[in-house]
Amino acid sequence: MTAVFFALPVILLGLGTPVFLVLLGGVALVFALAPPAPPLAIHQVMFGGLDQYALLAVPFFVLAGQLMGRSGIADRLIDWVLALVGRVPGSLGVAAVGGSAAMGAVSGSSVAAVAALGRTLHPQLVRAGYGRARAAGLVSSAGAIDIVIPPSIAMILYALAAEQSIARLFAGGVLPGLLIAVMLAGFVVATALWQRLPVTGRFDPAEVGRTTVRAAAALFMPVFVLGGIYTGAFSPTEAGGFACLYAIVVARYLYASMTWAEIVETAGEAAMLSARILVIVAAAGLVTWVLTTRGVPQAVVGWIAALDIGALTFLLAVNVVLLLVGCVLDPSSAILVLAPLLVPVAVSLGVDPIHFGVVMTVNLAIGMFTPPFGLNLFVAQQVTGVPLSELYRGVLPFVAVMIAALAIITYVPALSLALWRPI
Amino acid sequence: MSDRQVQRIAGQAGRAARAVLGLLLLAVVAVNVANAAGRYLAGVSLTGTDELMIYTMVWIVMAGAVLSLLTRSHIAIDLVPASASPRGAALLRVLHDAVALAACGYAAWASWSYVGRIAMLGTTSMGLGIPMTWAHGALTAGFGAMAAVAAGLLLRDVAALARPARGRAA
Repeated sequence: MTAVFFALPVILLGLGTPVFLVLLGGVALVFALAPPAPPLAIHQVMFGGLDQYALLAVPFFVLAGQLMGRSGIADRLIDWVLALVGRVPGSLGVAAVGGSAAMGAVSGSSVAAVAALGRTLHPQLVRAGYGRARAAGLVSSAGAIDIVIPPSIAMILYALAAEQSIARLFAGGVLPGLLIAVMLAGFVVATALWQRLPVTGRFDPAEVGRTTVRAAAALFMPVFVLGGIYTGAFSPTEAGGFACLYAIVVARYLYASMTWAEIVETAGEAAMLSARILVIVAAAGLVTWVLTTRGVPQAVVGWIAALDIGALTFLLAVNVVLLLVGCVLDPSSAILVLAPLLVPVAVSLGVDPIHFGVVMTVNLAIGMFTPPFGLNLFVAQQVTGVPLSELYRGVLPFVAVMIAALAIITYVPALSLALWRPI
Repeated sequence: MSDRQVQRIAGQAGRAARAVLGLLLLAVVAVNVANAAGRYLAGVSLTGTDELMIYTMVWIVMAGAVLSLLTRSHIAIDLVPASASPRGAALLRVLHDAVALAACGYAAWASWSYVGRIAMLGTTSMGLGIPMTWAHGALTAGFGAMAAVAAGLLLRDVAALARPARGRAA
């Protein structure tokens, strides 16, 4: 039975069966072979999984991100970062990292960031002397920051799966996200100095002022949303609703870049994407329930305790496993499936569940651009036209930098926990 | 009606359905913002808005899941299908359809049983007093529709799989 429950889903996943069907099919098989409860429980648990007010934050932040993404903020944010870092060696590369971090705080979509950076900055990076493979590698890796910097859909899902505070997770992602950005930018500057790349930009206060004004509406959004959550003015779900309203006002009236028809079309896309995520939430809740009724999480905790390993060894093992999982499975699915199994073990070993959530998110963010299957690589290939074989070579140094950042985030919990001071 | 006309109509229906889902999502956002703003600005909290938003979202999720199954756009690891031969990819589609039919059919049956029970009890929601069968029925309708879509896709994909084999035999 256990073999069926674990082996069959893995095979079906590998063969491209949709994630929610794999989870639902596995549970249906368990109910057919050895029902742990009457089949009515399937409905009850799945409805219970969706019947949560906090879950509304997912479609709200997805919609806000898509609206901001389509309203033309990417170019404004990249211009702003470029104006700020124009005199820095490797300024274009630093702008890619900084632009992605800023987009992460606004839209939270890694794929959208890679597409925007690849379209806008890749040709300039190549002209400035970065090899086209390394430039594409930089674009792919910079996009991963967006999953860590709040608002993060992956963190909302972790909060729901692990029964943790969304606000605390958002606060927990700020410093790790900035650390990753600083380390990637530091690596870009160091390589630019090493390769003696010419400084192409300049620092012009007037240009900084002009680009700041152009990007102000986008820059104010994270202040408004995260500030509202952090000060306790809004719940994360209410913040998501206000973020949508803000994004509509910016897109329709301030930037005048979208018509009402386009806003409705974008809302339709957001609804579809949210449906694909939330149907996995419902099915994953069912799997968690079956595993819990069979005592699997408790058995895993007991098994790890019997191994007598410490928290540090456990976190190292989790990092290795999640890096591999992240290469093939998208962060949302991976979190929903793995968090209910791993969090009880982490807590039993004394790891803070908020810190563990940040570690999981960073791991899966790295998976987004790790060869051979990271999703960002395929997006970068489409946008830049760089063949995957070259892209794999170009991205490896950035994978190494991100793993170094992951090690720091894993073994310095204060980075994930320091910012939370309830007001 | 030609295949092209069928595809055009299906495309238009899909766009219309997505627009309806988009409008529903925007309506949920409006209710959320109005409720929060009313509470902060006027100290007024509307009864039942949480229920309204959550149940609408459940319907959006199930309708979106049906459309995604129809367009094969659910989240999946599509490396094997993408690199498979045309015949291999066709075989995988049949496998996916069969899994969808079995899983969604079973879930629809379980959901139908549950909704039947609460219909007999006549339970209503606490805030708005709407029959709970309306809320829970989203899962019954959603999984039922997905099972129907999967059955249709399975028939079409098995027929497509059989076609070149007959061609070779001839």
